[in-house]
Amino acid sequence: MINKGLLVKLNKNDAIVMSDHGRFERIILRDNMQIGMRIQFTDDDLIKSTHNRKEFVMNAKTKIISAVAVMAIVAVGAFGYPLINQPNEKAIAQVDQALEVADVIEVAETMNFSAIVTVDINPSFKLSVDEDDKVVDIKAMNDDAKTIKVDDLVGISVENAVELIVLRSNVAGFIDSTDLDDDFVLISVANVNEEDDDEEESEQAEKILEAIKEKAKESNTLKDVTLAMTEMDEETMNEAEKNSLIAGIMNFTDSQNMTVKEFFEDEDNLSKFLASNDVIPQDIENKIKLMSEYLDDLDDSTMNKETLDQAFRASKDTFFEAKEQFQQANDDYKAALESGDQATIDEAKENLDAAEAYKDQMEQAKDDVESIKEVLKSIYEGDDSSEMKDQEKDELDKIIKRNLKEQEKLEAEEQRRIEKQIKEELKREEEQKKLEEQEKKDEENND
Amino acid sequence: MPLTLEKQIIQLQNQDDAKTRNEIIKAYEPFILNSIVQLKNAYIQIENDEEFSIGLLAFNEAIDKYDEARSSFLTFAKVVIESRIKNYWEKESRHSADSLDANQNAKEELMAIDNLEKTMILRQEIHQLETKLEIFGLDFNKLADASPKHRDSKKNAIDVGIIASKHDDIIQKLYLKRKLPILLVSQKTGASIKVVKTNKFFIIAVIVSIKENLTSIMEWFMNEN
Repeated sequence: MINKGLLVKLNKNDAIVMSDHGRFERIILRDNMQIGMRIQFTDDDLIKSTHNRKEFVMNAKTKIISAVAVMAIVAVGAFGYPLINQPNEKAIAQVDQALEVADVIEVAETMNFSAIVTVDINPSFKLSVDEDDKVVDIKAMNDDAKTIKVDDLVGISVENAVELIVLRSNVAGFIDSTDLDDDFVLISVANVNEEDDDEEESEQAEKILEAIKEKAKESNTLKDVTLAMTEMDEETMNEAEKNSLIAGIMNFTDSQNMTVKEFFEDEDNLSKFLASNDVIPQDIENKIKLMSEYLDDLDDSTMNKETLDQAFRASKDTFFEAKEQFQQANDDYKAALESGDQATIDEAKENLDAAEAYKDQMEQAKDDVESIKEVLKSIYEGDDSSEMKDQEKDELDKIIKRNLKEQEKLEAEEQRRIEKQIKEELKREEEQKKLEEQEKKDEENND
Repeated sequence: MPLTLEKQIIQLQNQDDAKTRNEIIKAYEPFILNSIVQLKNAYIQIENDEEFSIGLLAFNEAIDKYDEARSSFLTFAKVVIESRIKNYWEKESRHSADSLDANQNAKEELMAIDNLEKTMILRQEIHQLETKLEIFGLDFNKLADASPKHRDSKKNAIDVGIIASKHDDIIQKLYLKRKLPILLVSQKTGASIKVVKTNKFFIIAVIVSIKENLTSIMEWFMNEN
């Protein structure tokens, strides 16, 4: 086969072409070569790479391990005999040493990890993860962590391990998903690179974070907490461990013994962290459910109770209404895409834009729910100066007004959609009728 | 048992079989190109393949003139190709010295200038690409060393690069982190993680070429594929 190549580089001993196969290849140097030249070449002109670095490194590793293993066996063989006959302290020491070396090798082999994941709730855990994203080792990093059984998590995939850690922390009482406080779980991931330019591995941290995000979408355990996630390098992680700091947040705060929860409850910290990292907030629907239970439990004599109820219902309704319409618009768009009809797609695109607006409404409603939750919290914590109550009432009234307006909008929007659907159906019926009439006519003509 | 090349050639001499003849010539195109390239110790440019045409004609001629008793066919074909090419060079040098056919000369010169211009533009863009790739810790040597061993993924990798370049989030991450967000690219382009991983450097090169508006290089990517 004849290949075509664009000459991009002239080295001392070879030249590099960008070939028509979408590859960069080394070819033999010849006369009159100029960068930018387009040439024809054959496989005979290719320079096969003389050594594959990775293979080389792998081979070297295997060799070292087998060499040490042989040494261990030789040591046992050589000193085994005197060991039985007459105790020889030196021999015993040497056998022990040899066995120890062998042990280390075995451990090194099973501990072949390529990423480290720390989970900080308080309790804090450190997970070593191998190339297949399976947990190969797990360590309790503080006393609280030691109270939770985790050694059985070795061998399962990292996202499942994280879920189980959160679940067990919940059962053990470190997380309380039945109170109105937000619970935070901080997950930090670092790649461990054996060779500094081994870039194949460096994508793993991202992959692990993605896997956890996916897990969070379906796991009820993870839905009940706010997940903060960050990627960092191994050095930072080691340094944090050395100083018993929380790696994921130590760069954002000077306070040494701040807990994850204390850190994230501060709005400023949260936004600082968010600027370069991901946070998946606690599932709002679970929160709404929980809040309605708390509201039901409220004493009727509680000040502002009625307003609170109203505000909660209004923002909750806006949220679910907007969510439904958002999903509807999204589904319509997908269906339109599948139908492949250009006019339908264009129309669906408009709907998708509308859907974005619904999403904004959802976000706003979410914020309102959050504010209401704060009010609820203050009531339960018994914080009730009259000045504060007035402020609260104003706030709640605003929320009610806004949400009633939003709902009007949503209703109008829905009305519009329904009307449109009816119109379309009528149109279709008419067309059908016309078609039938035409057929009838044709038949008559044929007769 | 399949026939030896020599037997096939003799058969061709005895009975006309255009199809088999073309097949043989096609199969030995690399051999023809190699013979010429080795003779002049220079690569043949795509735009200027007169020498290659002469090689093809010479190979065809060798099929007709081959005598089994004398040598293997390929040895013979190589001699014929080399002699025809040398003849052509001689004629060329005389040609330009005499300037007998002024019209023909002018035409060739124009083509040469056109080609040169294209080469210059490409050279400039290649230089730009090289500088931009430095941002990602890449150079052409690294790209060459990282090229996958097999050639099956060519079109894929270019397509992946083109589609990926349309996603702002990919571009942002790429330039921010200075490495290709493999998972994201895989999600947005539908290519498997493995394909993206093995071709990541090449995909970066494609994206950078698009983003930096290196149109001639892009043209090369598209046209030669």
